[in-house]
Amino acid sequence: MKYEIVIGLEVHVELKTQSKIFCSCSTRFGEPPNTNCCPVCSGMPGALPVINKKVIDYAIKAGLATNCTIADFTRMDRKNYFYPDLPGAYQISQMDFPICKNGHIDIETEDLDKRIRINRIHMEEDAGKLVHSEYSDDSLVDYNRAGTPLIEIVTEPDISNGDEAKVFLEKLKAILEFIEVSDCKMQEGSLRADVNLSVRPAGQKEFGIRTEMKNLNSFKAVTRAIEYESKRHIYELETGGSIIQETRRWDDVKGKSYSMRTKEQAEDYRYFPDPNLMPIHIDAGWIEGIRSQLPQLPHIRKEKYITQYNLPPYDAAILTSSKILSDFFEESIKFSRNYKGVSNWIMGELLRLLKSEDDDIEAIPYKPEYLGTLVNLIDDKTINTNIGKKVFMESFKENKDPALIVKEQDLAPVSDEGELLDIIRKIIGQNPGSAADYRGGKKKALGFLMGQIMRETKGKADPVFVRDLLTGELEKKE
Amino acid sequence: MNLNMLSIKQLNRGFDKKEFTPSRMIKNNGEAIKNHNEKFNFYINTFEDEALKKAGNMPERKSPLSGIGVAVSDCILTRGYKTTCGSKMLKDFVGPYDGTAFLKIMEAGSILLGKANVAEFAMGLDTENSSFGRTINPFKEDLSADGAPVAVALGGAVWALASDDGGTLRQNAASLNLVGLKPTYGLVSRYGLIGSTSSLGQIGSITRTVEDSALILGIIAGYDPKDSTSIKAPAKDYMARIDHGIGGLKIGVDGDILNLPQTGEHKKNLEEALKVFEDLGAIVEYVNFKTFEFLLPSYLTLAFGEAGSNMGRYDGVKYGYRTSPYRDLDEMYKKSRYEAFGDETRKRILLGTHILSKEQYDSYYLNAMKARRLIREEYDDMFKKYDLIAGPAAASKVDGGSGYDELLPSLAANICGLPAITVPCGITPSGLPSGLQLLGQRLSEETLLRSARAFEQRTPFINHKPREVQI
Repeated sequence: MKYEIVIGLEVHVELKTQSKIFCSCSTRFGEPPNTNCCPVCSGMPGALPVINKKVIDYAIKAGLATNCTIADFTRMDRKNYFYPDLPGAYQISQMDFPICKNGHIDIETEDLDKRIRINRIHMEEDAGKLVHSEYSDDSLVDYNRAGTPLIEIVTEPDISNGDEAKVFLEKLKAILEFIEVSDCKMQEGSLRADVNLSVRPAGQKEFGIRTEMKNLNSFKAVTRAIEYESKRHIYELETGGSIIQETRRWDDVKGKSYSMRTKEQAEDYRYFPDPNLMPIHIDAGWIEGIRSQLPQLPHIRKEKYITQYNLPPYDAAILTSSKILSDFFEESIKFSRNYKGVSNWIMGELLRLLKSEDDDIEAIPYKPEYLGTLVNLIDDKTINTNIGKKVFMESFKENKDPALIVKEQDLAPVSDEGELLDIIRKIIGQNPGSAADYRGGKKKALGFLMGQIMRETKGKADPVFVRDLLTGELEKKE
Repeated sequence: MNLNMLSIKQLNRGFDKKEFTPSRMIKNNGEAIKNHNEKFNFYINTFEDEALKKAGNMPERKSPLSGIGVAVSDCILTRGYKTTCGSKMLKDFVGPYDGTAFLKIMEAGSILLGKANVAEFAMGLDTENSSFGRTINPFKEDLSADGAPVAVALGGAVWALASDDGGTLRQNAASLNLVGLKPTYGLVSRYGLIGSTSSLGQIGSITRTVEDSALILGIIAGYDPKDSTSIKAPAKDYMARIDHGIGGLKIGVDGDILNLPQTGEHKKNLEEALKVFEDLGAIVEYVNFKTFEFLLPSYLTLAFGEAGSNMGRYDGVKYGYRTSPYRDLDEMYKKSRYEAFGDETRKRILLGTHILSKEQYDSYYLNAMKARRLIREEYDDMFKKYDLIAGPAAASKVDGGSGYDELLPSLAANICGLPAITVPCGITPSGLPSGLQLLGQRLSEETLLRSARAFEQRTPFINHKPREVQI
């Protein structure tokens, strides 16, 4: 029997505001435990929440960037449950009136193009962290993270396999990074994905029973978990077993999912509107204000690079994989018309120098104008490619105008034919053996002579030109 | 003249004329505490020594409250002093911050004399379910009362900062022959008010005279960025028109409340009081509210629902009482909460949890919110015809009924967020003082104050004191 896999994702994204969602504590990561806390985010008696407007702005931004409708009326609700990392015994979230609804992200995989619909985006606060003591049975609670603002993005069950899930997440991450609402580092926990998965016989309309998987810490883990879980569902159904609706924990090391909840009933969170917070009315002016600040999104830029700048899709994809890179490219091409050339330098030399420090590009400490200038210097043959590489290294290190470097160090190529012939003849004269080898048929001897000549010119000659002149000279004599 | 029964205004005049000093008054308060607190149990914790030192060190008087001793209800956070909220759960809890209203009165120069006894987590009109025992009403010793007004009545403070979630402040002010003012919801910050409800309560004042409550309102009212439900209303001088009287005002009298068995013993005093209003030039008419039957069910549903959620944070994890020993997290939660909460608190939490449960939410909480809207609309309509709604401030427990019927005179103010004031209007045959409650539209405190003052000035009732303080 053929089965169809039906997947929906719930993605939690940490917003990179400076303050928490309901108090003015800092969201800075990595501080000593319980130092970024106040009565509000540590659940003290009598403390009250006050919403951080930036969080609403960022949620609207995320909604606009994913084609959602922004609600004109939205409100915060309480989700009640007991756990030590939840200081107030309720999480302030949104249930009935989420801030964004009915969006979509279009994805392209190897097999097809597909639209993944977004059911809703809502705002909520994060819980604190539990740390289990190494020395005793105790658990320790750190409330630094409690109150960090999150948006939860819930898709419709439109995803059919692990690859689509991965592509969706990558695209979502790129969009959210581009609009600068989150740094989306899955390994650091600022982006978390839960997978809801069920299977059904191909063609059946009703959904099968679904399971939810948590603890997925990378995009690879998502695809592996989907692979495993779909097989598990199918196996159960084929062997006469049944799927229990439950939450399961993914163990990436063991490559398996394990049941988390022992009770079969879903927990009742007793949602009700938080009486300490006023409902939020969002008017067209507010939305337009944010829309006007939206940068051009990655897939739009990618299209533009392919159609307008004639870049191959591969280049376009790499350049638009990060906003910083994409912005740098767009700035650089203001100074040079050689789009492909600029692209090559960015993808090659620039990325090489940048990635030697960090995994994610935080910033590019180099003037885009300089890269444009460099490409032009090579194009108009002021310097050759080899010299170009050296000039670039120095230009990048000092953040200095390459034209200035070329001028100061007298790196202009030796292009005077007469000057070159003198050097060539001198080298031939100094190396009669090699010259004879070449004339005798050993073409490889040319390389040695070339090396000597290039060294003599301090690399400033155009190697193609030199080669022509050299072979001309060698074949001439006799 | 018993100095210990002077109003804030009278004290200020005395300070100005150098007839006596703040230190002398604080000393009097200290003596009253020494003489009466053991029997009447109005303060859970007292700070006489520190108060005396502060009174002696007063630099200059910043406001009418400077140098004057205040009782603060133990459900309001006071940094550096214990705030127990009447419960074993917070028996030794010292909060790391001040409630905004408390901060304001301290910045105005108030001197804290003690934290007053309250029902556990303010869930009740009296202190029968306080972990610290009942406070006795000196006017009728078989009755228990809230601690703050008893402190004021017996001279253990000049006035009190207290809270009103379902009438506690007003009903107790009435039963102690004092003036109680509950402001419009949102006018006074709730930051630092511990209670079990969120949409129903406000901090207010208990004073000896109406003018005193006007003085205090001017200091505690105002927008607080720390409270999202706080109103951005312009500052008012509540004293400016306080002697403008009640002439020409139209007063509606809530017939249903006046004819309840629970208010029976006060009925005669109320009817006399209404005649005084007519003498003063007000127009008095009897009215009935169609939404009367919704008052109690919607209040209880909203209050218990909110309580069920608000009380979750008392879990033994971060502060407060934690049981010992325990085997695991679940047992820690259950035992801590069971051992530290009293019967009434546990009952309300369980009911509140039931009310908010998925199956019950629509029938209870959602319907209560709808009923609340209807009640509010009816009061809004009524306030287009009447300036004030009058009625008895307090009610007594009567056998039968729901067990919460005595809340009825108070509830409209909490449900609709309306301001209300109570002023003494007589003594019942059993010796219990009666209070006249005036209810106004939102932000009509000025009208309430001048009306109450007109009545107060026309009648002798504010001079009635408990036997313990009579000379």
